[in-house]
Amino acid sequence: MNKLSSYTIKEIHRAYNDKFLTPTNFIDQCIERAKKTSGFNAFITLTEDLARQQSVVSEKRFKSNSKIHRLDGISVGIKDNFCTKGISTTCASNMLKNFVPTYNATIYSKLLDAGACVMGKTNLDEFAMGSGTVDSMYGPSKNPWCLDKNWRIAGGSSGGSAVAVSSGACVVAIGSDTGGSTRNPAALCGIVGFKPTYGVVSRYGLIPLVNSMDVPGILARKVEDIAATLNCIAGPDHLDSTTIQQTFSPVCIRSDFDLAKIRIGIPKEYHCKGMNEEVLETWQFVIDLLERECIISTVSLPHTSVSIAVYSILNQCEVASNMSRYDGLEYGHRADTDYSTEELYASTRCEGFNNVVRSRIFAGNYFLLRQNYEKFFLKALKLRRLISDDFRYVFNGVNRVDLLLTPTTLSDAPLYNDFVSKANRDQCALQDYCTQPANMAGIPAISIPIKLSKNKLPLSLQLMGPALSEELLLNVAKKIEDFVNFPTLNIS
Amino acid sequence: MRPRLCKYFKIHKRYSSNVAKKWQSVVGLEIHAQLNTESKLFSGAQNTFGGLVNNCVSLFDAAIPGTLPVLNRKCVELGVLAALALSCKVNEISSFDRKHYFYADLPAGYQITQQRAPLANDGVIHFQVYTPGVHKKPYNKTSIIKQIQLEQDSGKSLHDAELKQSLVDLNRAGAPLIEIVLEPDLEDGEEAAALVKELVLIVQRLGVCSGRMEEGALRVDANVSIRRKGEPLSTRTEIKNIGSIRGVANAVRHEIDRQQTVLENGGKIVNETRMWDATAKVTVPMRDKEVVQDYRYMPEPNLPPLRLNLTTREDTQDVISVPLVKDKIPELPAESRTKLVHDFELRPEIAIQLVNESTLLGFFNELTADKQRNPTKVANILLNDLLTVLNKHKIDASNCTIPVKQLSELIDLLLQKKINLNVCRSVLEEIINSPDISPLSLVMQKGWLLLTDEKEITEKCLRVLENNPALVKQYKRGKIKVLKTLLGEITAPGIDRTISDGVTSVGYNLVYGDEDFAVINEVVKDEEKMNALKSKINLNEHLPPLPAQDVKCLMSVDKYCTKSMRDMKSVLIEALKDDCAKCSKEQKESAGKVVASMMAHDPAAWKMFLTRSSLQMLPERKKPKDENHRYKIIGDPEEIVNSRNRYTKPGVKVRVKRYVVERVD
Repeated sequence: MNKLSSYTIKEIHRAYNDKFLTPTNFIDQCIERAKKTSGFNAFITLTEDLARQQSVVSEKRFKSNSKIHRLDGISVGIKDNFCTKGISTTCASNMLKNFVPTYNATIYSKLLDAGACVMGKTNLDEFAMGSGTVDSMYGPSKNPWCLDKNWRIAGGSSGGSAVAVSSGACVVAIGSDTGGSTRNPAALCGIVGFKPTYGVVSRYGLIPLVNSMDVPGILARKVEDIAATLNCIAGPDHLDSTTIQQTFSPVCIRSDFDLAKIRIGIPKEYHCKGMNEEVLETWQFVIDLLERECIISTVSLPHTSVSIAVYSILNQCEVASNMSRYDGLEYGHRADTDYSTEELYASTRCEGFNNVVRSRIFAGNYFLLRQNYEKFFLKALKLRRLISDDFRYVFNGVNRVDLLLTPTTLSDAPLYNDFVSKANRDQCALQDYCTQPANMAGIPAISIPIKLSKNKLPLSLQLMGPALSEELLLNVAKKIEDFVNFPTLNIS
Repeated sequence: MRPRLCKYFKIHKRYSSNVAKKWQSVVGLEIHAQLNTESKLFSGAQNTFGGLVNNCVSLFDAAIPGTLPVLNRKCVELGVLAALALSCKVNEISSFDRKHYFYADLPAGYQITQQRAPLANDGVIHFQVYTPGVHKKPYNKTSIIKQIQLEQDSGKSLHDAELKQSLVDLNRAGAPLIEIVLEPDLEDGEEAAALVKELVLIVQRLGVCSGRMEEGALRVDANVSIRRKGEPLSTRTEIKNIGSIRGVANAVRHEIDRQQTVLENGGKIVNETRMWDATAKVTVPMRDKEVVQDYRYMPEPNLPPLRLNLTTREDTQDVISVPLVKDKIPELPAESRTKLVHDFELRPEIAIQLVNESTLLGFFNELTADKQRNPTKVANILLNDLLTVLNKHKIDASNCTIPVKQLSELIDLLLQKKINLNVCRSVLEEIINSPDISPLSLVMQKGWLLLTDEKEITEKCLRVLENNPALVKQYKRGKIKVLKTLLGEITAPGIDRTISDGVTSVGYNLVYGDEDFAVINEVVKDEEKMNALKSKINLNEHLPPLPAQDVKCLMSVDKYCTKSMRDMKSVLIEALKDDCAKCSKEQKESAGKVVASMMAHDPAAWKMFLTRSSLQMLPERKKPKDENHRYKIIGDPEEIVNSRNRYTKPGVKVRVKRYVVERVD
């Protein structure tokens, strides 16, 4: 199994074809792994039976030599904020602990169509609000790179997905990325985390955090698995009006990809206060490495420093709005009170949401008040435009670059005790610093693990590209991946 | 000169019904119209009225987490169609917003609407205000449309106070609406009602909305404020969800009265939302919306801006061509009215009534396609007789099932004088419930055809007279009431159906041989006038005829009269006028003798006398009640040179002031 857990999709399919592994056998091993590593708390719901059923179907296809689907016999984890028909979808919240959707998210349907074996629903911060997977009603997810008693966080909010992949329970996991929620845990757990361009992957069935920034993300051990999964889930969806209408042309990872003419920008604003020395070293290490292969230049994204504040306001406003549907009437938690409708609402929402969610709702409603709308929300929107223009300029202006290289996080995985001593807002402000600008601009970004820190923890870097530059981004990421040869986690 | 000038310059009389002069009221409307589409605004759920509870609800309508809105193209088309018909500027780009408030029938906690960039702006609606019984004649009014926006409807809550339960039906949740926001250009409830009526007609013509207010397909919110002339407006109140046209008129009128009473008693109007209680005829505050809401508007992030093609006829799945929609606008009610007045020479108020009942208008258009039929008469039959019968049977005009074929057959029978109006109504009564019966065969079967052969009519009448000698005798004695009995059902069954309107005169003709029937009928109706004389008639049958000279005196100018006869003549005239109130007993006595003698011996002359004196009396009878009028000069004096006005001399300049008459209460 240990060997298997470093296999890519292509390698697993080859093993299936060469008959030294069968889908049912592999999925059984994955389930076993998931159960063994349950201490990391990667899954909220483990869908053992479903995964087995799907592996049987895949196995039949391999045996009958019929057309193999792209994810046949591949174990996949899905963040518990994607709606899955007949499988409870909780958002790690008391509010939705009994919520069983009657429909499938588009991304989930596409994965099923591609033959994926769904292992279960992975842990997250309540309603994906956080960057540590510490605020889940099912408890925090633990970073599998550290088995000490004084454990480290997995990052978040898609921490469960990252842990599921890095611990070997899943080949691929689906996360959601609003401010870095896919890239951040991937970086801390030593796997690849990818956020596609806004509108490339349908959000239908993703329980929203910030509609204008949410993107389903992909977590995998290798870049080529990211590409294979992206090709299965991307494309226009008439159920999501914000998807890009053009048909998606599949991404191709080429072994003969030439880096020579690629221009990579190093945005100086990302060298920020509080950035760990080791992270800076890693950044410099890759810059040095790439300088031999392609063109490196320093660029400026002047509005980067305000981005986190703008992100915070927009996030809270949309949260306040999106959360207003949870009133306990149609679905979800309902408080046991019948004094009045108002009382029912108040108790339901008080019992259903944790402090983080409630405080964001509170702040968001404040920003949206008539007298504050222009002062905060509208100004935040204008700044968002400037931030997005910064990117447009570095990608299209004079001395334009093709991609940007930055750190993903400011440090390696923090200790749980250190992390929870800070308020949620400060946690996010620090953790999301490098990742949320890509969400503000809607551009694709990928986090690639580079090396281990002194603490034997993964350190990762992020590549960002202009909208719809997925192919370029993934090919360059693949090259970096090959250069650094990051080790796969070995859990015995 | 006075009446002539008024006529010449058109009397324009306006007064608002219940608002005392010193108060001015200002009314603005917001109208929600449900769009006539198969599915809802953002979901594929069926958009229908009266479906099984919670059975037309998609996941999105119930705000299931993770679902997203997808704009229904048909809704946009209908919205654009309505906007164009109301002369709005359709916006190339519009966008959607979320309007937040908590309510059980609003599952998402917000309504998707278009607050910042609506579908269309700056329209106008022209309408005529005419409520029979309130307005003497129609007047034109215009209201500016501020904006038209697309938005979602909410569900419905049912509160059961006894069980302390609230039930929610989400069938309506997410149904497509257009909200039409109008500027406060109106003055009273009647104007508001007239605007709403016109809007209902327009959206029905366009097929945009069923206009059925009783189903909630069109709902009205009215903003009402008042002020004393020259002072700033008072705080406004909003009356929500008025569900009928008369409701609009009544709610606004009562709210104006209420505000006025509050202010006159030194009270203050608070900015609040009120509800119209149609049964109690009061507006009452809505309990749960007392606090001014902050809707915390926010752009809807799940819907890209709505783009429209304003210039070309290129239509794609995502971008609707507005010129193509414009081509689909049918004839609008205002055009129909103008046509009716110009092409068919109908009176404006008839045109209004006809256009108000689109089914009847349809009948009218089909019936008058045959130029033989007189449009005014056709309109009258539809509006008076057909509508009366429909109302009597409590059938809505739009549900009238009588085919045009039957109506045209019936109307032709009437217009060709083959049946009379009584028969026409009877036939309508019969065919209203069995529309397949042919009116012609019905008339034939019942023997209701009018007798046209004069000889036959005369024979029939004679037979009646022969069979009822006693009644004839009474009649001849002056008991004219019995004529009705003579021509009634008992003595002559069916005679009112088969004898045309003027035929009662044949009866007279047979009795008296006179010819001036029409006017006599008038006089005969005024039976009371004869009461003073009747008591004396009994002994007068044996009276001798009057001397020829005296008859001549009665029948012509006074120069043939003896002094006593001249006095008698004036007594007689007095008697006819006011029951001889001022006469002495002797005068009454002798007058009675003259009358009796005349009736017995020279009835033709007596009728003539009655006719003349009644004609003399007519103008006096019609003297208007003492209303206070006052003339208001409008505009500056004008110089008139050549006028056909006979009070000005041709070629001479005359300064003329134009007035309107105003009633002073």
